[in-house]
Amino acid sequence: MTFSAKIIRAILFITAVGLLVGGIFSDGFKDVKSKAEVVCMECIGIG
Amino acid sequence: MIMENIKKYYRRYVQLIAAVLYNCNFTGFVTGKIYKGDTKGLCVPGLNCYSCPGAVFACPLGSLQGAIAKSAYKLPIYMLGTLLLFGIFFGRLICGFLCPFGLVQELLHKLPFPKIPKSNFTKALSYIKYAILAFFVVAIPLIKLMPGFCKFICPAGTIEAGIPLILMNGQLRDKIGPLFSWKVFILVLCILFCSVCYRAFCRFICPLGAIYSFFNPVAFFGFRVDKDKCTGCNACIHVCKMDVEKVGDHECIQCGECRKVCPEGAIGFCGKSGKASLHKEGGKNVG
Repeated sequence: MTFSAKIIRAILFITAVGLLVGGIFSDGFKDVKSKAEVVCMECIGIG
Repeated sequence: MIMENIKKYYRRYVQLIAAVLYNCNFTGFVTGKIYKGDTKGLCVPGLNCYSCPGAVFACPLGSLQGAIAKSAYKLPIYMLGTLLLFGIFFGRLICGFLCPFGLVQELLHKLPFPKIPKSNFTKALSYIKYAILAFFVVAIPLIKLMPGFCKFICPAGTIEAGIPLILMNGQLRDKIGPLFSWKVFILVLCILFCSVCYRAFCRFICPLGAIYSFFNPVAFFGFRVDKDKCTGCNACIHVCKMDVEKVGDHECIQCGECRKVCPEGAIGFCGKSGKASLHKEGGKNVG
C-alpha cells in the first residue's frame, strides 16, 4: 500500500470516528433504534 | 479432518455465523413479532432487514435511507460514521464474509442450472449498482422522504421480513396490494438470476456493496498482492467469479479464492504472504 493510500486511510478513519461520536451525541443511535424497532412497511412491501 | 474441513470452508462458516448472529431473536420467528431491544440502534455491516422477526440489529441501508429522509432537519452523521467505519475497516470483505444475503446468493448459485460466465457485458452491468445507490438510496429519500430502495427493490426485505411477517400476521396479510406483488416479482427475478449468474444481485444491484466498494483499495483488512512476487499470470482474475480487473479492486469481495490458485503465493491477507499454489496449470498465461 502506498504512503498516500495510508494517509487517506488514516484521514477516513479519524473522520469515521468523529462522525460516529458526533452522531451518538446527536441522538443518531436513538433515531436508528426508533426506526428499527417498528415494522418497516416499505421493507415488507405494504408501503 | 475437522480442522481441514474448517480451513476449506471457513468463509462459509463465517457467513453462517454472521447470519445467525444478526438474526438470533429466534422467538420472533414463532410469534411473528420483531425485536425491540437496545441493539436495534446498532447496524450490522451486511444487508439484513431490521423488520425480519429474527433481526436483533438494524440494517445499514434501511437506516441510511431513513436518516437521509430526515436530513432536512438533522444531518445523517451517525449513519455516515457507521458506514465509513465499516468501509474503512473491511471494505467489500463484508460482502464476501458478513452478508447473509450474499450467502443466500451463493447457495442459489449451487443449484444445477446453466451458468452465465462473467464477461465485458456483466462488467458493464456491474456499474448499475452505483446508479441505484444514487437514485433509490439518496435521491428518493431526499425528495420523496421515503426509503426508495427498501420500498421498490430490496429482495432481502421481502424474503427475510415481508413473507415471514405476512404469513404469521393476519392484519398485515389484509393490507397487501400491488406493491407486495411487485416486491415478490423482484424477489423471484433475483432468485432466478442468482441461480444462473454468480451473486447477480451483489454484482449488479446492491447499493451497500457499491458504498463499500469505494473503500476496498484503502481498507484495513483485505487481500493484497505482493507486487515483487506477482508475475502477472492473471490466474487470480481467471478464477474470480466477480467482475474484477485486479485483486482488491472495487468489485473484489475479498473471498480469497484467488489466493488458492496463485502459483507464486503472491496474494496474502493484509500484506501477509500467501503460499504458492500447487495448481500450476492455473497460473499459465491465462490472461
